[in-house]
Amino acid sequence: MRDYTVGGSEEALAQANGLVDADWYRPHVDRSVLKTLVTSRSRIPVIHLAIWVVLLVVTGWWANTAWGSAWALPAFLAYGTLYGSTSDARWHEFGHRTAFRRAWTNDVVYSVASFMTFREPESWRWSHARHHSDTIVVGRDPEIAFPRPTSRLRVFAEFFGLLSARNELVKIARNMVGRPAAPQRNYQPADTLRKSQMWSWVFFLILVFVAVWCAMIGSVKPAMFIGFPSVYGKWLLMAYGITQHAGLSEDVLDHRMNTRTVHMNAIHRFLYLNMNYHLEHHIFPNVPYDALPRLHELVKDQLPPAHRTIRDAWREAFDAMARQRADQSYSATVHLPRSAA
Amino acid sequence: MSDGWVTVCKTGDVGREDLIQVEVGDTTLIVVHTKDGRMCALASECTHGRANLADGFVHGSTIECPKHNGRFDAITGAPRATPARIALEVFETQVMGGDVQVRLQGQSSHGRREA
Ligand code: FES
Repeated sequence: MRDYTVGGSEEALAQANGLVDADWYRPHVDRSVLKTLVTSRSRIPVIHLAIWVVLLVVTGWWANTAWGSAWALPAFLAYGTLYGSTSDARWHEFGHRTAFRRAWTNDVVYSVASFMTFREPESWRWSHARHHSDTIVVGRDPEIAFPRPTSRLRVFAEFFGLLSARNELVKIARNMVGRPAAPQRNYQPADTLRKSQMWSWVFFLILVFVAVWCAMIGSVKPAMFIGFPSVYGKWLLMAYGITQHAGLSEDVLDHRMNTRTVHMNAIHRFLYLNMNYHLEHHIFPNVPYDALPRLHELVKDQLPPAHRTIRDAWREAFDAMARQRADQSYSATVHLPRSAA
Repeated sequence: MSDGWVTVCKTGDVGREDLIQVEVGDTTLIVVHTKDGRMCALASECTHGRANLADGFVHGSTIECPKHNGRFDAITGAPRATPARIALEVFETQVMGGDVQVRLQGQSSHGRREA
């Protein structure tokens, strides 16, 4: 098995092979059209954010009133999924600062969504920048969700966010005492570690507050609203997340070989903020999510055919991960358009 | 060319809120036309990672890097949003009769790349 540790033994190999902070394939798009997609901000992100907040409030109210009855199950499923899964797409889009024009307005949503999806915001900013520089480059990318061979247990556990939550708890504990692990120090500048320490304490204190609240009233109810949804509500994020890179190539400099675009219906695209256009996002990270469908239309002839459904993408990803258990060099086949190969 | 000023392009070559790449000898620069009409010349290489800001975008008077969306002030070169944290080198710029002219001695000592 390869060493997936960031900064581990594979890093030197990646460096030697020219895979570090390298130039990636870009399809041709007329600059003036691309500029329009990037710079013309619409009101859609504001409307979508408002709808999302309203949905959280309404499902939260429903869960609160249904507490103790059989309705609590669907109510918490709805609330927890919005909280634990769809906060990830907000974390991501606002982290790129592409939703709103002003950096600070994006940063406010990013910070709240970071807590909801349970990611210490400062370290994840740098982690995600590295993920974009060195996408699925072993030894460099901290966000390789499915290292080969991917055990079934790992995939199952991630549907409940268990591994991510455990890893994040360890990271937060280490940051709180000022002893971040080596991989974090590899991708995060040293002078930003204090911010991670501050955020780790903020997260910890919020969780302590919720725990004390639960203890005082003798009920787990407050934690079902704040904290636990990051775990029990994670399943949809996993369902979407598998479609992004799982089973595709490692160590390439062409996102078409390691990233998927998958067609989804309007509800999924709202919940996931169009991150189903993941390939287009990786190639052009400046394009706001609401412009990704238009970008897709412009470049689709230069990209592999998009997967028609989530199930279609899953089939390919799970099949590839199954094969990789026997042959770790296997990657799902990607059909590049002849004209752009 | 006089007093070190070099004509790098015409004002009409750079649209409002846009930028172009120009070469002066061995040096690659970007010429930025801000929303309020100012012309600025800066180093073209991002100070965060390996990215050419000529592929980036301009919002008002802010340059956005095409790789990680780091932001820089087009007038001062100062970083405005992470992961950009080190200022870009800024060059003296003037507009003379429709010509954009640049003087290569940098105004600032910024511009090194992040380690
Ligand atoms: S390379 Fe420019 S912000 Fe990272």
